[in-house]
Amino acid sequence: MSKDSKALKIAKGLLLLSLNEEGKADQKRVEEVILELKKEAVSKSLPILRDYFALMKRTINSYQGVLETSTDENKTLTKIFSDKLSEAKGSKIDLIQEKNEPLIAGFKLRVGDDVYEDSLSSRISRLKKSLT
Amino acid sequence: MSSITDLIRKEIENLSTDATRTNVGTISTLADGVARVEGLSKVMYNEMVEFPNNVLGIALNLEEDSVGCVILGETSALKEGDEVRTTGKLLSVPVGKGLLGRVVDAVGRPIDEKGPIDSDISFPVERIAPGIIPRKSVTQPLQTGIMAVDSMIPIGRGQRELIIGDRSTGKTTIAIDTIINQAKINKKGEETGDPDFRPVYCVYVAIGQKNSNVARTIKVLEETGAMDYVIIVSAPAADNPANQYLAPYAGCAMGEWFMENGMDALIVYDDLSKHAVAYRQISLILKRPSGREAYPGDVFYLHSRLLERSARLNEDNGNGSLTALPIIETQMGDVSGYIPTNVISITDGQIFLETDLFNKGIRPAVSVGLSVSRVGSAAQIKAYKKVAGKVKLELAQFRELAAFSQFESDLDAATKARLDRGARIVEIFKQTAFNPVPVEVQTAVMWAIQNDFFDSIEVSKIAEAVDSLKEYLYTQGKEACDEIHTSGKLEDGTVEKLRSALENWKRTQS
Repeated sequence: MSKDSKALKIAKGLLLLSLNEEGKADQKRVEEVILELKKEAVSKSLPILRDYFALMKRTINSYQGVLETSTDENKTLTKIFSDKLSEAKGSKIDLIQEKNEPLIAGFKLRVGDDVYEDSLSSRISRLKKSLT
Repeated sequence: MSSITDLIRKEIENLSTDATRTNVGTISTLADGVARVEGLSKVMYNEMVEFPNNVLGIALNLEEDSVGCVILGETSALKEGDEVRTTGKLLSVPVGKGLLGRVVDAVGRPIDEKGPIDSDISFPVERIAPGIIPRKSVTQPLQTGIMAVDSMIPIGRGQRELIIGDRSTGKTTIAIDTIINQAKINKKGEETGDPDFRPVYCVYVAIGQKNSNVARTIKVLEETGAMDYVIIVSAPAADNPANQYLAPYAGCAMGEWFMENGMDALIVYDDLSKHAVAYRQISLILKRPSGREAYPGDVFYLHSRLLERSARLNEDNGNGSLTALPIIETQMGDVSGYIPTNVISITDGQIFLETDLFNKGIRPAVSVGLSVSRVGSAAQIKAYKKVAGKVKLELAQFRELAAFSQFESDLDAATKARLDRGARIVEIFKQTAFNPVPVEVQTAVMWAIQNDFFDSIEVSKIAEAVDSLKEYLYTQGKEACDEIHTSGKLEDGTVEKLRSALENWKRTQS
């Protein structure tokens, strides 16, 4: 087994240890994992930590999305989106709202690897592309 | 003014107002034109992906945790962490007659500074080859204009004929000569206005070549007026390996358009050795397991799926054809190398060019013993078949007996006669580059050989005599040649006219 795949295998094991009963990352467990990894030599822990970080990011993104709008935070809107998404995906999706003024109007929603967008800026860039 | 506003209004009306959904990922590593991307969980194999700054790539390795993408453009502006998006499209290139006379890159973008490509149709670069049912056997000749090839190794429309040989043995010249000959035939055919005339359009794919060589080829094609019928796809040595890997498939898609629309096309892959090397480079960077000579395991499939796309379609499928002339460069004349044997086994024959013959001044340096066309005389017009039948055997016997020629005084009369005739045929087959000969003139010259018109001419003066005969046939012997051209047969009347013309020519020689 190569060094890379060995590190990935360990990182996957550590990820499982970091999740709670709902399959979500538990901050306390993550801290414990990091503390343990710190005890190892940097050359050994760094590749594991890198893979652990990538896997953790992917896991968090699968149940936590980001809703970008050009307006200030609107809890009602976030809840509507969150409910609709949870219904579509079949599992609870938490949404964090972020302000992104360059969108001009509309929204951009990221969940996992998927990006849903209906903003004025994206329409303008599509128009620009079709005219060039 | 109003037309501009109308255009913008039309574009706005056509724009979809629906929310878009894209699958994204981020670049985790970037090296040698290959990016490893995290995310892109819904990407398809061979799907085009979009990097920042409108740089395109293709997803080639779909792994558990990441996707290996080859980048088809400038990589200097890309960095780790950049967002990559799926496009939902397989890599496609523009196709159609609008590409004729143009030089494009591996993704069909013009690189000749002649403005945008006039085409609104595109074909995916990777397509499944026609199956058994839509095909028919190869029967119609594709004249190369090279006597040694047309007489001994005839090529038919829809055939795959490999041109193989060491460096600097005239491989590209044979391909370019063939293209020039198609252009000459096309022009002549179009001038006659014959509704049944089928022009052959050409695609020349330059893979891993020096830009200067590609420029020289373009110049030759322009000077000979062939460029109007040619599309050049260039992925030079300075281009990234991904473009070199894709160029033959892109060229093939352009050729397929002609085939699928009932037309005939010829495609030259110059050369597939460099193509295999580019693919090996990509595969090694993508960490695919390597096999013999470090090539990946699917290097045979790389070329078989490309060459199988050349075919002759039957009448129910438009009767079009795509003829392929792949080129392979050997090392020290070794045809038993990995890539040469692969491509030899895929194609329907090969034209083997020998360094020794080339250095002796026998050009084209076609090796009679190692060259073969599996289609054979089925791809010759009747007249040519009649006169060229014995030449290959005679020349092969000559090459075999040539070793004994030093003992000339001890040889019997029959062997001497064979050596004598062979030496004359060798001289007759010598031909300068970019100077293809029409099939009717070739037929007449071959008839002259068979009827001993060259026997009284000294071997050293044969080349001169052949030139003079060709000149004579273009002028005084035109009537006989025209009859061969129109009927494709050597009828009694034509033979008489030919005999009389040749006797008159013979008198001018004495």
